Amino acid sequence: MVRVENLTKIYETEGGTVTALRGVSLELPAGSFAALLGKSGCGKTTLLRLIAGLEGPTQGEVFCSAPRSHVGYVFQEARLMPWLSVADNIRFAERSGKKRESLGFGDVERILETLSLSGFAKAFPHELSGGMAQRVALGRTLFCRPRLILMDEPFGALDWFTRKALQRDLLRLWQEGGKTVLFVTHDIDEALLLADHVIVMREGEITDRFQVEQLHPRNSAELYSLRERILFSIEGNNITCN
Amino acid sequence: MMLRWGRRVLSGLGFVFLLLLWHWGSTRPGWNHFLFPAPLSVLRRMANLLSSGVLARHLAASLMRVFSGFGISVCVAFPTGIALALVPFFSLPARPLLNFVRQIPPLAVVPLLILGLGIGEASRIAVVVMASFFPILLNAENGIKHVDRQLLEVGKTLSFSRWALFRHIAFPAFFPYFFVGIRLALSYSWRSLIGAEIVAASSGIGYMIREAETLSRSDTIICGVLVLGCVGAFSDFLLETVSARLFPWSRLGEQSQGV
Repeated sequence: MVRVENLTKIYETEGGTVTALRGVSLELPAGSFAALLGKSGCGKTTLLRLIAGLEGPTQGEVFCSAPRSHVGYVFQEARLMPWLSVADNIRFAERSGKKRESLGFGDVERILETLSLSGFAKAFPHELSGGMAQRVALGRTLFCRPRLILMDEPFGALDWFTRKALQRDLLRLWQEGGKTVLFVTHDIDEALLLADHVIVMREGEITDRFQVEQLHPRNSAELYSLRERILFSIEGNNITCN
Repeated sequence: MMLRWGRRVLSGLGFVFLLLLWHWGSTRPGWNHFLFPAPLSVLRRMANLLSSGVLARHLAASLMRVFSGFGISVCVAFPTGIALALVPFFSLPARPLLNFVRQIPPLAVVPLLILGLGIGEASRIAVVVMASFFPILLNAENGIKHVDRQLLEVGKTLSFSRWALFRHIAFPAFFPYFFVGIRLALSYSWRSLIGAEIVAASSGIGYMIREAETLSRSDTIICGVLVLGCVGAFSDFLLETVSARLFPWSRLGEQSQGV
């Protein structure tokens, strides 16, 4: 589905150059759910933005088997159009001015129902809670029938309860099939709860990959030792594992 | 509902206080009735001006000038502001020139306008254009420059064409700024027009005020001033209401950018 080869990204700043990514290579098979895990500033978001085509790489290449219009992106903030209703925000992709290659668009009514937003079709973003706004953002992505969904800490700003509810929604949508998900997070538990691959990044490089074998719904006790190994990997060799 | 009515009553208290103070002052010995007649005298004069049709005639003349000049400004300043924001080839040479012209008070060029355009309507409308042009221009430019980059990125992730990005994201996001410019421009139009009418006109509220001065009718002058305040406040209220309806998410109207 996605292949990234030797991706390097260097930003020019007033204080000099900052290398955000150093020769990152990655392959995501179709239908997989991968979590990109690492501390802030390790290059997770940069990698996601390069895959989405929001920025160009300094070096290296991104190959994606899905057409650009079937790659969805969910940002950390909902980024809804404040002048449009919930339903119009969800069907926002219709205004792209480009013809859809193959799959067409999703059904707004169904998306609203799936995301528990049925009663809010006519509401405006300033009338929504943070969790509802993020649901609409997810709905906007689903409307494009994406084959690849890139998610940049989409639940990072939400409270625990909303976060859990949205994690369940996302997992259900992925389990319906047909979607590959690359999910950026700095929360190990979230990565272990959702993903079947956990990719650890440190200082612009992919340092480790972990397979999560457990079936859903997952039991956090069973994942304890894997969690400790991932934590050890994120911290480098600077911590001692108990 | 109670709170809304409470706020309305409270916001009217300032006017009531001023009116009572004026009335109380006018009953004191030593009050200069020639300069500042009592509220009831002004009210009587206002009724007289209304019933004779004099006020309506002057107000219509002023409104015609304001809306003509204002309309021209919108048509010219809107595309110019967008070009300033988007076309460096245009903005680099044009900005210093526009900044220079912006500093000139419209009234300062009235004599030149009269020499060039004559003493007719054209020179007065030109003053309104000069006064209302820059608020619209600068807010249109600001609006385009302040379009949220994060929203544009959403469009890019949804494969929007450049035209679709402009039409469906940049333009709606820019419109509240533009509307702030419209509100400011309308207010500036009134101020400058009255100045122009006081200097050179044979109709309009400004002319009515100047004529009253030569006849030493301070009650008519106060009537003119009150009408100006009422028309200005009403038009601003109207635009604020329209803005709140059109852009309920935007609080820009509360932080208007003056020029």
